[in-house]
Amino acid sequence: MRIIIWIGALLPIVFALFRFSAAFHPVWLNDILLFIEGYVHLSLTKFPNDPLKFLINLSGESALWLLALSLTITPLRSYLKINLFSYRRLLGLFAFFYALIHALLFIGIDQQFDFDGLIHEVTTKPFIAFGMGAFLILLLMALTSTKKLFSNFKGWHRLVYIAVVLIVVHYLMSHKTITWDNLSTAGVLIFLLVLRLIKR
Amino acid sequence: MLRRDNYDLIHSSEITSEAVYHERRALMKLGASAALLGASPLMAALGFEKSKSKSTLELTPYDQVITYNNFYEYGTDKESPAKLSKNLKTRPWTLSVGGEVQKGRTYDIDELIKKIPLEERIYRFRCVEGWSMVVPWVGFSLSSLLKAAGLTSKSKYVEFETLFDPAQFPGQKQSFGTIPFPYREGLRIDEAMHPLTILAVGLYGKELLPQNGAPIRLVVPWKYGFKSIKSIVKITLSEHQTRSTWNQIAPSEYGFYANVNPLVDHPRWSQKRERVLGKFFKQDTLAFNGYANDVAYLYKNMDLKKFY
Repeated sequence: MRIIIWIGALLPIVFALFRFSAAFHPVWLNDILLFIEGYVHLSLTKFPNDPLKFLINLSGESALWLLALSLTITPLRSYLKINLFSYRRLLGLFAFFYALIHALLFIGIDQQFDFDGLIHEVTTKPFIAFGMGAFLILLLMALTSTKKLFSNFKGWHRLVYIAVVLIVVHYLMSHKTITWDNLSTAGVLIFLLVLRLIKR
Repeated sequence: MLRRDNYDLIHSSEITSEAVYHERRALMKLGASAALLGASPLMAALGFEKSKSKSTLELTPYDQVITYNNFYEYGTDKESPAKLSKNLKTRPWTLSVGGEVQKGRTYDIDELIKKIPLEERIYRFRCVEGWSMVVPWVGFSLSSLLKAAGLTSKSKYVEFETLFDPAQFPGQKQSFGTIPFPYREGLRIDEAMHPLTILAVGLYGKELLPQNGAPIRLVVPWKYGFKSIKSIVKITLSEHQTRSTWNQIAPSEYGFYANVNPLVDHPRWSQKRERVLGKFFKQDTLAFNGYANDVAYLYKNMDLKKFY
């Protein structure tokens, strides 16, 4: 199980490597990728037209889905009696790992480490503020996720509910129009959140 | 072919030397024979006058220009337009010019392209989303078409409309998650008559592909890309400010003017810098997208923070 989580969680990085190395693919690899492309709605063989946006979106969505997975652990136990509790921390840390990449790309590349500019963005744009708020919560949770600290900070980890709400709003705001796709993704997160809240 | 006929368009000799004229004729014949020999009609070469200005702009590769498009008529993502637009019927195609003009009329697109000398314009293209590219368009000044229709004292604004045909535009079948169709955009008459404002029928020397707005689209280089409406069927002059689709959906985010302005942020993202397609690091965005010397006078008494 641990291996499956590792492989699954690293898939976005493999995907990004495929896209960025597109120019260097040997013909046989390209053929295989083109074959796969026929079955999944993914572009694998082309260098991304807008590479920064590609990475920011990929890391953000990876963080979102890994966080969603980590939120399924408790309901799985309480409703379906499936105990995967020992993997919750790993999933949460992977979610944080992608959130960290997401935040660093924004701060470092998008904002070019211009901290005055960054403060301006966070204070004037709810879209950025929500994302940054969620990131700080995940950061706190990641730092206090060691066995020793977790016992002291257990209560703080309930902040994840706020983080999920912030992430849902941030995610919906990142699109120019709201589509069924975005709404269903948001719906999954809200559903998991409600499951957690109605039954402890 | 380039005779004035009954159109009152700018005569080709006013802007094109005779040598270039003959070169263009040769090019057009080349294009025609290529089409006869079975080349895709979509890729037909256009006869046009090459851009003479020594541009230092680095052109965005053709492959990127035709695979990264906002065209909600096909879907809300950037890849759908290239994938879903292959069968757009761009012939026959008519473009009507009407409303507050002396004599409105409807042009057949081929007739129009033959009558008006085409020229290349290498322009920066900046999307409101924060990405940009540099495109060698082929087209003609919108002003020549408007002059031909005859402006009146009531011709104060120009409205453009994209083809409405849900059978060809799958995105137009949807009502949720997209925008109201037909797509409309508008310009003030002085913006429309400005020499930088063109109607493009090609890019990279070839006819426009559907995802780029075939067969004819607007290009206003100092405004955000959404103003440069695609696949136009109707141009209407009006006395009052016209509709603008994005402005109608979210007036706090997209203004009627939509001039590229690094000092006025979008409510959700900064407009200070832009991501040039294919590049990982951002570059500074220029006032009026680098065309301030040409167009800033159009807005000299306006508060650009208010009229964004």
